[in-house]
Amino acid sequence: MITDCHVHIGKSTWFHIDADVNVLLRAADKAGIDRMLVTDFTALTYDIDDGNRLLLEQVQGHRDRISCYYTVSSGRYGQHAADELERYVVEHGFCGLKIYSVPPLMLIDDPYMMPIIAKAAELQIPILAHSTGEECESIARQVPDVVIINAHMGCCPQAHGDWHRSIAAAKRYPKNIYLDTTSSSFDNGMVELAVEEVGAEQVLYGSDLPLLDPILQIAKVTESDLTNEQKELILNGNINRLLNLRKAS
Amino acid sequence: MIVDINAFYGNWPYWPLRKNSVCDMLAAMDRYGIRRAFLASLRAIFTDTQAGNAEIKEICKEHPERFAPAFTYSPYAAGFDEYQRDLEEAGSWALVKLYPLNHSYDLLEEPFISELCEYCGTNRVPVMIPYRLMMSWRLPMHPIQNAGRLIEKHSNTTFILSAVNYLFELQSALDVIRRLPNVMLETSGMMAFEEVKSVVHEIGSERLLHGSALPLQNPAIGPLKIHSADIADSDKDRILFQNACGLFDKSAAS
Repeated sequence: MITDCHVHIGKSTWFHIDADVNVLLRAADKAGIDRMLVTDFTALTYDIDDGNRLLLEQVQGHRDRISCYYTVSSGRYGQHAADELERYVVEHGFCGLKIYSVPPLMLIDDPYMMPIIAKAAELQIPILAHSTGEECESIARQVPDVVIINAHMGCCPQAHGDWHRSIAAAKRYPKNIYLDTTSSSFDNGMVELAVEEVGAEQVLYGSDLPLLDPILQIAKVTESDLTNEQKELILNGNINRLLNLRKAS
Repeated sequence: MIVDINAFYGNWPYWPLRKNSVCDMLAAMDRYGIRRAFLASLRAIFTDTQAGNAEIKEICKEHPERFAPAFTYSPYAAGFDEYQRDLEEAGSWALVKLYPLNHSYDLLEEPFISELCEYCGTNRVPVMIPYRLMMSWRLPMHPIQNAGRLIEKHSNTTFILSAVNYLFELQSALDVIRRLPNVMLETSGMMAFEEVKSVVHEIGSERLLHGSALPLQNPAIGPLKIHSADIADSDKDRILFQNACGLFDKSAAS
């Protein structure tokens, strides 16, 4: 079984993307992905209220395949976003929070973001953070119960592609920081080093669909030098464990 | 059968490379069906062009059926004046790579680069211009527009744009390819969803060449992105080997 912890839906002018639920399901079927954790582009880049409502509408009838991140474009929405996060999690079953770092102006450890992050920790849901390893560390220091998935494990422009720093951050905060494998980078040995340094339990498969190709992203895990047990944890077991934190509480 | 137009040999200054010996590379090529790979020397790119090209010649001499040389030259590094001898000795399966960012020169300002491109055009040696060393957000990128201006000046030479990722990079590369018939695109940097299908639709499979960036990148990914693309089998064959055979050995392309 494969669970994809990093998927987008909706429209993005920057990425030239217009992907509805059918696009995602077709791609998931082709790649062999059973379940996707999805965030909405509109919420990420324009309007958090509009975007999260759109996501909820779009996934009706597909909740067996699609789980939802509540998404915020900026920490400046403060308490409103924290309240809405709680409402979407409690009333609509959203399973996580998605945040995005836009250096140098809006980092995810911005003081305004902290109430939102604290709310996610209180709700015991994971945060998918497109950011640097250092920002994830800063959050882990400030919110000790947080569970934060470092999207792209450093392989993004914000983190200058430096996956070694993200691995080091996850190693320093083993209870808080997890590494998401998706990115445009397929550096030989990257996933193997992450597993050697922090253990397979802290590494999660993601695809960044519909931006990146999920078939290639799955192969990044399956064609690495890991045991089958380690691959299973990365492809499904670890995200299940994180999603069960809330259910178990 | 797969031809890999963009492989490397050597060490990597940014982190320890795994499985980068000739033996390891042959094993990876066997596993993923790569029959022959063009090797560029990382030593030649980073420190000693002459010694790097020499080590590539040695490897190709030991494994002539599996490796072909991708020579690197710089107007400011020893060995640049040996290019004619290198290319004549190598025969038809050889190409030239230019790394202006690593060798600190401007593609458009160097008489040697013009001379080299003219020679390559006359002698049907393709010239590869990488957008970056491999797809990584930590590496600097060479402006494709500059490459386009060099290509315009050498209409008899076949150029290969390499390690192009997506969005504006790809748009710039496709613009150059649409304008100029003597340009092809190598696939090692293409990671986006349905990118191969989209590019085949835009410029045709005749303009694409498979590259893996082995051993810098996971060797599974290069062939897989072509095999899994929603394109005709005939398109896949062109990208994986026929186009390369056509460039280097016309008798093998049919």
